[in-house]
Formats: sequence, C-alpha cells, structure tokens
Amino acid sequence: MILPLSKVNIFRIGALLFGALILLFNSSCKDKPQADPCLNNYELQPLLIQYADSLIQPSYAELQEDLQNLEQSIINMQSNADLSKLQEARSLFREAYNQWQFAAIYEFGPAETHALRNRFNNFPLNESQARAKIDAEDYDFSDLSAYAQGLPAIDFILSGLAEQNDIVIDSLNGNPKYLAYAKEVIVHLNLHLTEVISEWSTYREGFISSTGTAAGESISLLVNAINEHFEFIKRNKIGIPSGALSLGFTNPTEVEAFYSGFSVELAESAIKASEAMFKGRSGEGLEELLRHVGAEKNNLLLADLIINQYSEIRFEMGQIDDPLKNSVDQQTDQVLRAFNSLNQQVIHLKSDMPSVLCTSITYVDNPSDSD
Amino acid sequence: MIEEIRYKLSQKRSIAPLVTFRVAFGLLMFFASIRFWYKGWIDTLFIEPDFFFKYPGFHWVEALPETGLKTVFLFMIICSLAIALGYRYRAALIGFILSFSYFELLDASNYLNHHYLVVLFAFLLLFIPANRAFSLDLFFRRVEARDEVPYAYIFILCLQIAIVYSFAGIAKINSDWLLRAMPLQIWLKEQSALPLIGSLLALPATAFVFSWFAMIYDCTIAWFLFMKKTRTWAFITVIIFHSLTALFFNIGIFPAIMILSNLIFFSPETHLKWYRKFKVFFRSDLHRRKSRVSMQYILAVYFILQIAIPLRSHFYPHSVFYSEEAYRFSWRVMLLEKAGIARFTIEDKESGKWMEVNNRRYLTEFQEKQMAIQPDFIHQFAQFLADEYSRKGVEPIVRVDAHVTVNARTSEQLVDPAVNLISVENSIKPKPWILPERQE
Repeated sequence: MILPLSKVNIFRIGALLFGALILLFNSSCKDKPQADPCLNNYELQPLLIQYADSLIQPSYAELQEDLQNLEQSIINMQSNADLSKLQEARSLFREAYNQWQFAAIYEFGPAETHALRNRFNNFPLNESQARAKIDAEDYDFSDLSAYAQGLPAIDFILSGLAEQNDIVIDSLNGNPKYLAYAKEVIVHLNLHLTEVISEWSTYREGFISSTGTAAGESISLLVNAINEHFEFIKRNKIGIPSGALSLGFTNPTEVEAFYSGFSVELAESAIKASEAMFKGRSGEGLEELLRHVGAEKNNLLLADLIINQYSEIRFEMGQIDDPLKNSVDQQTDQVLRAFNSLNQQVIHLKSDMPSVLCTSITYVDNPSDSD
Repeated sequence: MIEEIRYKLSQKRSIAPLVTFRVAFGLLMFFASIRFWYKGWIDTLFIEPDFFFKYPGFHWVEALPETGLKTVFLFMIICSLAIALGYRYRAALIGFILSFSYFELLDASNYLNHHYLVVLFAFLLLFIPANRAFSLDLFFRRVEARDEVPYAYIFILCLQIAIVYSFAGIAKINSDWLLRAMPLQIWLKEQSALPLIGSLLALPATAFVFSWFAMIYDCTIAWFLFMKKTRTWAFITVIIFHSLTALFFNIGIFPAIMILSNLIFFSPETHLKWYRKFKVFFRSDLHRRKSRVSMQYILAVYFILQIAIPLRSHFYPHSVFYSEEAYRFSWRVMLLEKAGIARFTIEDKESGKWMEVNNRRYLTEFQEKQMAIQPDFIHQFAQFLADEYSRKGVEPIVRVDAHVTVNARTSEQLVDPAVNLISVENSIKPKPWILPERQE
C-alpha cells in the first residue's frame, strides 16, 4: 500500500470534490446558440467557385484589358502627343486605376507570388527617384520596395509634369523618355498580370478544393485578403493623408493619385470592391456565410451590421470632395469622420467575422509553444 | 485522521521514484532548453522585441544584451544537466530556478502554464534529497548515500501533479467546453487535413467526445494514478491522452513533462524492478536513523497557496476568460480561442489633437496579439506610449478601442474606450476600467 489515505477516504474526498465542481460550474449561457458554428454543415466549394470564376479571375481579365487600352493610348501619344490624346490616355488611366482597386483585394496565391500590390500601387511616388529612373531610361522594376513605378508613375507622367495641359504636352513631346518610361511600366505590369492570370488557371483547382478552416485554406485566405485590403484603405488612402496617424498634421502629398487628384474616387472604388467581395456572387459569399452561422451582435445580425456599415462609409466618403490633397485641410473633420466609419468596420471584419467563422485572421503563429 | 496521514507520510520508501523524477526532469529540461535555442526563440522572444510586458512586482527584470542572455541560457542548460546527473544538486537547482525564472519574467506575454509548472517542480526538488542515490554527488562522496526516504517526499510531487490536473479539470467544467465543445471544435477542425483521421476530427461529435473525455480525464486521472489497482491503466491513458494532444496542438514539451512526471506515482518496487533491468542497483540504507521531512511548514504554506491561487478568480467581478484577471497560475489550459484588436489613440491634452498608434512599430506580431486580449498588457503598453509621447513634448491622454472574441463568438468591447489609461491603476486588484461582458 503506497496510499497515504484509505480508499474509502479517497472516494469520500472525490465525491466532495465533485460536488464542489458542480457548485463552481460557470453557467454563462448568455448567447443564443449559433445555428452552425464553424461551418460544419456548409458546402464551401460552390462559394469558392463563385469567388474564383465570378470575382477574382474576371477582375484580372478586366484589368488586363484596361492596361492594354492604356498602353495603346500611350503608344499613340509617342508619335505626337496632343490634347485629345492626352485626355484619352488620362481617362483610360483613370479606368485602369479604378479597376485595379477590384483586383488589388485578392493578394494571395499567384497575385501574392507576383506581389501585384507592390508592383501596381506603391504610393506616394518618390518623385525624384522616378525622375532619375526616367532620365536614366532605367526600366528595371524588380525592386518591390521602390516607390518610382507602377500606376503612380503613370499618374506623374500624365498629370504631374505641369499644371497646364499644353505644358504637359510640350514636355511629353520634348522628352520622349517620359512616355517610353510610362510604356515600359505598363508592359511590366501587364507581364506580371498575364502570368497571374495564367497561373490562376492551375491554382483554381487547389483553391476550390481547399475547404477547411485552418490558416492557409481558401476561406482563411479570403478573410485575410478582405482585411488587408480594408486596412490599406483605412490607413494608406485615408488615415495617413488625414493626419489621423500623425497627431493631426495632415499629409496631403501622401494621397493616392496625387497628380491627377481622383484619390477619393479610388478609395470609393476600393470600398466598393470590398463590399462586392463581402457580398460575393449568386448568393454565395462571406455575407451568406455569416447569415448561415447565425452570427449576432447586440441582437443584430452581423451580416446586416457589415452591410449597413459599408453604406455608412459610402455616405461619409461621398461627403469628401476630390482632390483629397485639398480636402484633408479644408474638410478635415469630414475626412476624420470617414476614417472613423472605416474603423468601425474593421471591428466587424477583422474581429467578429474570423471568430464566428472559426478561421484565423493572421499567420501569427506562436513563436514558442502554447498551452 | 491527521495522525494517520502523518504516519503514512513518515513511512520509509525507497528513493528510487525520486531518482527517476530527478533524472527525467533534468534531462527533459536539458533537451527542452537546447530545442528552445535551436529554434531561434532566444532571438525572436528576447532579442528582437523593443518592449517587454512585465509581471506585477517584476518590472525591474530587464533583458540583457545578446551575449549576456545567451550566457545565462547556457548556464541554465548546464544546470539542468547537473540536476539530471545529481552533481552539486541543490546549487544546480537554485541556478536552474533563477535562470529559468529570469527568462520567464522577461516578457509576461510569453507566459505558459507548463513553464510555471517547471519552476514549481524545481522548487519542490529543492526540499527533496533526490541526489542521495545514483548521482555524481554520491560518487564524489559529497553526500551520504540514502536508500530510503519518508514517503512525504514522493507524496508532495504527486500532490503537485494532482493539483494541476484537478484545477485543469475544474476549469473545463463550463458551458463553452461541455455544451459547445469550444474551443476544441475550432482546433480539431483545423486538423482536417491530417491523413486518415482528418475528416473524423472535423466532425462536431468528435469535439464533444474529446471535450467530455478531457474534462473527466483531468478531474479523475490523479485519483486513478494514486490507486494501485488502476495505476497501470491510468498511466496508459496518460500516454495516449498526452500523445494525442502533442499530435494536435502546438504545446511543445507539455505532454512530455506530464508523461514523465507521472512516473512518480508508481511504487518504489516498480521503479526498482526497472532499474535492475538496466543493471542499476541501489545500496541498502546504511544510516537508518530517524529522518524528518525538512521544512514541513514551508511546504504546508506552499500547498495552501497552490490551492488558493487558482481560486482567486472568484474575487474578481468579470469572467476570467474574458478579462483574464486571475487567469495565470491557475492551470487554465487550452480553454480559449481568443483574439483581439486594440486600437490606441493618443490625444494631446493641450491642443486636443489626436492620433492612432501603429502598435507594430513597438511590438512584435506575437506580442501585439497577446496584448490585445489581456487588459493588464493593454495598460502596460498604454503607459509605455504615454512615456514615448511625453518625451516628444505631448501631454498625452491614451485611450484604447479594444475588442475581443472568445470561442467563436462575436466581439465584445474589453476596455472602456473613454478612459484615459494612464489615469487608472493596473494592479492585481479588479480593474474597474474593464467593461462588463455583454448580456444578451
């Protein structure tokens, strides 16, 4: 007998302890039971097919078309630029830049491999670096941390060389390096976009058959993607220019599309893209998933809260006049209101949504063990 | 009854189980430390961060420069080997406790229950003469051989393990764990890619079976290990249970600690039988004088604290899962899938201008994740931000918009967003600036 106590005593103590356990039972049944927590009874594949075929791949195809049109308009100007050609190029650029907002959101898989976000839209442009590259006819765009390429460089060449259009046209005609650089930038973007498109045709298979919830599975990629994109809108498109990250000191030069000035429009497109991604297509999307799991917050459906918040954001953004570089100083309070409405949505998208879908939002793995 | 207990505890037993425990503990710590270094965690956890979260009362513990840190770590590795070999046993234990605790105290965001358990085991070993047999101390005649020890020495280790299991079991008796199979459901589903058993693990029923089994296991396993009749089967269950957890979860050395330390429950005869198989023989005791357990009263206080500390959560108004007041040192393991976002704003009192803080400028990704779910860390970070901005000439008000999600629910606002965090207290007392949980 190694026991310090007799068996009878052990059972007596055991029974006492068990009684104590019942008393300690922490009954906090405050939530309504979720309809289907963790998507156990949801067929994810149709949803993933919708994302792949109706949202992701079409967004790339449209962007590619817009880039080709833009490239053609630049080539047209190379022979001899004039006002109508310039205006055409600017309007095609605007179209492509807006369309980019829809493609930018899906930065995983092939797009991540090709770092599309860095290639397309590192802003604000480092003007002196861009000028130096233009002058040196340096068409090496492989440095992803450079801020002298992508769409911001086109913005500069089409709208940033001077205030008056005739001076811009004179500059373009006087120094062929500008348009040559613009063309090379687009060729480079198109090259990578074309590769992304072709890689998606094989990536698609794995994407639609990855139906788990762990980090790296498709649903987690989508939830991460919408969040990263949304943070970028909040922080880079609105936050930094507005001074919300710098004690109220505004940064008008840090806006997107600084030279052509349609920054608010681009932010609105990005928000539209985010909303479109949230809604998905044909009744298959993140919105539907949230309805399926029955996620509620303060007795309201989380899906409705998010939809309402998108419309509030659209309303607040609609009150800001382009160009944003002026509005940040002239309408500071309104810009900050828009910033705060974006913040509200971050709580829903980044905290609530991944939680109720049982999918992890980041790749933050414990650097050590957990317990 | 007290007399009976005293009598049982003072009965002589072979020292063999203690020797097993000493060697297993020392070797495990030796390999675990090497693994820790090899994985580069000294760098990621202690060298890379610019800011460290502190334990109450231990704000003075600072990270040494890289060479200093690595020297201390090397010292810890040597100490654990010395424990296993029984070489300058007590000094090695003290060295180990100090160096191990140093690394634990450096950054509270790294808190792990099983690291706390390691410190407790090492502390208990200080009282236990586990170097009186099969040790270098004996070989060098530093100590006298002792083949028999009072049962109390074995019992305190068993008791420690029983406390860990029991509190871990009690903590599992809650509605999330038993009625929603949370968070196991989330975690098992993430394993759905495992070959053969993956699809089985993704079933909600599996999560319920595992949840209930784990609760019953934790609540009862110590009793089954105590009883001779059930001991062998209980130990087989221990091996299966902890091996499964090792397979499914990223919990490092915890399964090994539990499996090895549970060997202490086996009778001295069983230990001796195995030693004989490996040709290790224990000399019979030459000094059969009456021996007393040293420092009984310290041990009594120690165990009262071990029972009281996990129960302290009942003195806090918020649910412990939500506020994490009284969460640590209470054997609440694997209970939460918790995530949070904490958005700090700094307002200049004078100008009224404000700004949002980029947390990642000061914290590693892991630290930010830990900070966002624990109010005491939120407060520490707010204090740090206040110091940073005061230096820049701002008279700061620091507020936080913090939201946490627990076990697949929607988020709750954790901290009063209107409160200036530097004007409130952060101690072990209940924190009135934590918002009550949402009642629906």
